[in-house]
This record gives sequence, structure tokens and C-alpha cells, in this order.
Amino acid sequence: MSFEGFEESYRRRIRRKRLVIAIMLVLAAVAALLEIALGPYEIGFGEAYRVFFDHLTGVPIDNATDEYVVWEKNAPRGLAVFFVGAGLGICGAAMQSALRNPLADPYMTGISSGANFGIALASVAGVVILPFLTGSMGSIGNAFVLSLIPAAVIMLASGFRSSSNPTTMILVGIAVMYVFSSFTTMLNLAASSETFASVYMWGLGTLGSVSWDTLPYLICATLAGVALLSMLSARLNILSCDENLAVSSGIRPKTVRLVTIAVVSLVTATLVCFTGTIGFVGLVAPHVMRIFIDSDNRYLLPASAACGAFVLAAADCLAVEITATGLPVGVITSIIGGPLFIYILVTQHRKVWNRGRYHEIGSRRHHVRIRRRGCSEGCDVLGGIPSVRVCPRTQRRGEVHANTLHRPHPDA
Amino acid sequence: MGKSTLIHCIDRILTPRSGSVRVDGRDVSEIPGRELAKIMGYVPCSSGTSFPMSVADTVMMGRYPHSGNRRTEEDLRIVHSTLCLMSIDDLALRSFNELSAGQHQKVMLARGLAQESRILLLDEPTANLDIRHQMGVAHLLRDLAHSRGMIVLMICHDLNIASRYSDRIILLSEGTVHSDGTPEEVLTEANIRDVYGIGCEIVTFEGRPHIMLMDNPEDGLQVVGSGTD
Repeated sequence: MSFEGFEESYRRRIRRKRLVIAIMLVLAAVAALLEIALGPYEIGFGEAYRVFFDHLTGVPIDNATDEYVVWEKNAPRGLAVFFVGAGLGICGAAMQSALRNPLADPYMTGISSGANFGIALASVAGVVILPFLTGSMGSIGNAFVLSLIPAAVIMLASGFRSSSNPTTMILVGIAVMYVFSSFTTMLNLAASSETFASVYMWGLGTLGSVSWDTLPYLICATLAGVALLSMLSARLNILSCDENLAVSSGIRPKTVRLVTIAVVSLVTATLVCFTGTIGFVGLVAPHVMRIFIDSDNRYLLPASAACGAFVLAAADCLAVEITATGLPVGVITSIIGGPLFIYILVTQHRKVWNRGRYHEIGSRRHHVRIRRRGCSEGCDVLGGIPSVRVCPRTQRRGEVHANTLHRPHPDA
Repeated sequence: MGKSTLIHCIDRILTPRSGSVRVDGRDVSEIPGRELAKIMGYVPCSSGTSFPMSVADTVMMGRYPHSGNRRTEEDLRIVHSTLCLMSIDDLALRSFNELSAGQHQKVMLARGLAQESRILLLDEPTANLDIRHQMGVAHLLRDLAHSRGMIVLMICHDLNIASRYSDRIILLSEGTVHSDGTPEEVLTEANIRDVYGIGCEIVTFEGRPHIMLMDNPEDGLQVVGSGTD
């Protein structure tokens, strides 16, 4: 292939990745804008947007309730959905690459358990860690500070070791999570049922309490996260490929990991203390994007942000519409996201991060899937039947390589 | 024994307990990371990854010490030329994990070459290749070493490949250098018996010593398991 041909196809691939990101951003923006008109308050679709734009342009609005619901409740919620989703998406992608673990998500370091403990501490025991904060900001401050403690423990624990083993980091995070959960349980046992209910509700993950006052925190956290993590993209690429390679390329794996954990923890802690634990978005968004564009972090990170924003916005649209009072969005992301994710995993995902797959010789799938040439993955015996391990996508329909091992046809 | 460890020490992936590694008289531990990466490249034993990128992007990782997060036209040119050199340019946009083990090896080699370092350290670059590709890769590496004046340090278990293509062989045994010199000096019947405990006959073919292994049960060598690492 000539350089021009190579360059053209490479650039075309990059344009495609950018297009995917742009499409996800547009979808996310549309879903976030839909929020303005949705919700338990009865208001017409066109009416809601008219109120929204009238307020934006300074035209006086006669119905004060309309204005309150659209401008003070729904508009900040739409923006929050976009930025919280984006923040969770990019944090999930960065965590997976940094820890070389497809199961990693932004809460990997035990952030939600720490935050829950902070809320319980404020509501049940009345302890406020940051004394200059009052009222609800006091418990939010608690959640923020305590959600960073598990991450700090992970960073300290890996500081005592010469190498940074991602598995150790994950296990330390899980251990700290259990400790915090037990503390929370102990506090909750002493709580009155109303206090317990409020602590429990807080942990569910909802965007209903976001207002124009709290929105700047969310936006700043996400934008800072996007900027900082994007700077790490080339390092994360090499780190997720091979640790020794990273060292020899002039990257310090431990530093990159700790910086990633610190950034992800700060961003996620900020998001969590205003919204509670919204699961699944940070895990799913990167994996869905890996299917459409590959795992190059330069594009995967922004794409995961866009996808996270879309997933959360779409889920929140459903969450506010589905019942009269609205469900916590975390419930929707998991109920719909879970089965959808399994479907994607089963049908698509293997080609994204598995090395090969097995098909039994003679099975229907074997005949359509087998590779055309160079079955260099070799032959294996599965369940007593010789099977050819083949690589996905390179396979051509109906073509079978001469050297592949065949079970004799029963009629032969 | 200790081959990978030695290469890791040279490339500062591991810190030696005693002694030092010097490049042009400079201790490698005093050279900043990315600067060292421009002097010395490393190609690990290849493996599949959980998060595959396209072949072109995988090779592009080799440009990190030069370009960091950026990707310049020059980087693209170098990636393309190394892909052509390894004759895997037709795989450029395929996903790394779709490839065979031998192709993985070639991609990782191309990544090492794209780093354009003067010294290249290779951890068994021919391990997953068939003889034709083993010879192709070894031939290419020798030519690169000679034409570009590179130092290619390669771990190799195949004594005949090593003999044929290298200018200098270091034979390691139990963590120490057993012998060091040209293939003729190192690959002798005595040395092979010493290190591997196997009798052999050295035949000179096309000017290079080749090893004909003998099966001598009277040596009393008991093969307990296979694998030499």
C-alpha cells in the first residue's frame, strides 16, 4: 500500500471516530433538551420550550409556576444530566485503561461507600467534617471528603510497594468499601426510620435535587476531568498494552495510575455528592464505544464522555416520565442497561476484547465462521471434538481452509 | 536463565541490585525516561490485550517518546514505512486482537522500529513465528543493524538462527555470562554440553556454525519438564 493510500484510509478511520463522537454528542444534547419538557408537572411540549426561550431572551412570562418548573427545575436538570453522564463516562474509560481491567468503573475505588458513610454521618450522628458548611452543604461536604478516603488509602497502600499492581489496587478499594459499608450500617441501625429513609434515598442516585446553585460544581468537575484525562491518553494507551513497554517508553506506570485515580476520584466524588450513586453509566459507556471505535484512548475518552451523557440523559427522560413521582435514574440505567449490555456482550463484544473464539467443527456456525486462510490459532479439542480456534471478522462465509481439521461427515 | 531480566535491567524496567548499565558512558538510571526511550527501544514478548487498538495505532505507540499526545504527518510516515518493512501494511487498520500470534509479534516489532532508537532490545521476537518468518525477521533485523548502524540485542532460543544472523552471541548460563564472542567462538561442542548438557556436532554451513543435536541417553540427562525459561 502506498503512503497516500495508507494516509487516506487512516484519516478516514479518524474521521469516522470523530463522526461517532459528534453523533453521540448530538444525541446526548437532544435527550438533555427533551428533559426541559418532561416530568410530572403537566406542561405542553411547545409550551415548555416557549417558556424556556422566553426566559432565556428576557421576555416576561405570565405563569410563574410554568417558569419555575421549566427554568428552575428542568433546565438545570437537563444540563446536569449531560455533564454528570459525560463525567462518569470518561472516568470509567480512564479507570479501565489505567487499571487494565474491563470491569473497572468510576466507583471502583469505593467512592460511593465513602459518600454514603459521609451522608449517614451527617444525618444520623450530626457530625459535619467541614464545619464552615451549613445545612445540606454540610452533608455534601461530608460525602465529598469521605468519598476520597478510599482512594487515598489505595494510593497510600500502593505507595508502600515498589510496583503498582492494578489487582492490588482494586482489592484494596474493595476492602475499604466493605469497611465503610459496615460503618454506614452501624450508623443506620441507630437511626430513626425517617433519617434512615433519607440516607437510603440519597444513595439511590437521582438528578432531581440539582439546581442552578449546584450545577457549576458538576460542570467544572466534568470539564476538569475531560481536560486532565485527555492529557493522559497516549500514556494510557501504552499502559493498557503492556506495563514493561510503558516503562521503556519513558512512562511511570505507578504515577500515571495514581494520577488517574486521583483525577477520577475527585471528579466522581464531586458528582456523587450532588447526585448519589448512579451506577452502570461509567461501566457501559466505554464498552459500547469500544465497539464503534476501538480502544485508542485519544478518541475513546471523549467518545465515552459523549456516550455517558447520552445514556444518562436517555435514562433520565424515562425516569421522570415512567411514574407520576419519577424513579431514581440509577434504577433505570441498571434495569434497561443491564440486559442491553448483556445483549451487546453476547452479540458484539467478543470481537472487541477477546482474542479468538471456538466453534465446533461441523456445527452450522463453524461452516459460516471459519477463517478463509491461515488458521494459525491452531486446533483444539473441546468436549472430545476437534475444534478450530478462529479469529473473528476475518472469516468469510462458507470458505474453509484446506488445513483445518474436519470431523468426517457421517455419510462419508 | 535470566535473559529477560538482563534485558529489563538494560532498559531500566528493573533496577539492578549491583552494577550499572552504561550507554555512551552515561548511566541509564541518570537518563530521563523519554530521552532514554529515544536511545533504547524494547519489544516485549507479545500478548493479546484487553483493549485492542488498530495495528496502525499500536505501531503509533512507538512514536510516544518523540511526539507525546500529538500525531504528526511524520509519525504517520514512519508508521507506514515500518509497517511496509514488516510487510504488514495490508493489516494497518485491522484490530490488533484479530491477528494471529505471529502477526502480533510483527506488529510489536514494527512498534519497536517506529521508536527509531539506536538500540533495540528484543525479548524472543521470533517465538511465535514459523521458520520462514523467523528467518525473515532475523534477516531484517541484521540488515537494519548493519544499514542503520543500530545495536540489536535479541533473546533467541534457536541457536542456528542466532548463529546465522548475529555478529556476536552471549551465552547465558545460570544467571551469568558463560561465553561471549562471535558465533564461531561461542557455539562449540564444549559450550553446548556445558550449558545445555546435550551432546552435539558443529557443522559449518554457508560460513556459519550450525548445531546438529545428538540424542545421547548415556548422558543420564533426565527430562523432567519442557521449557527452558
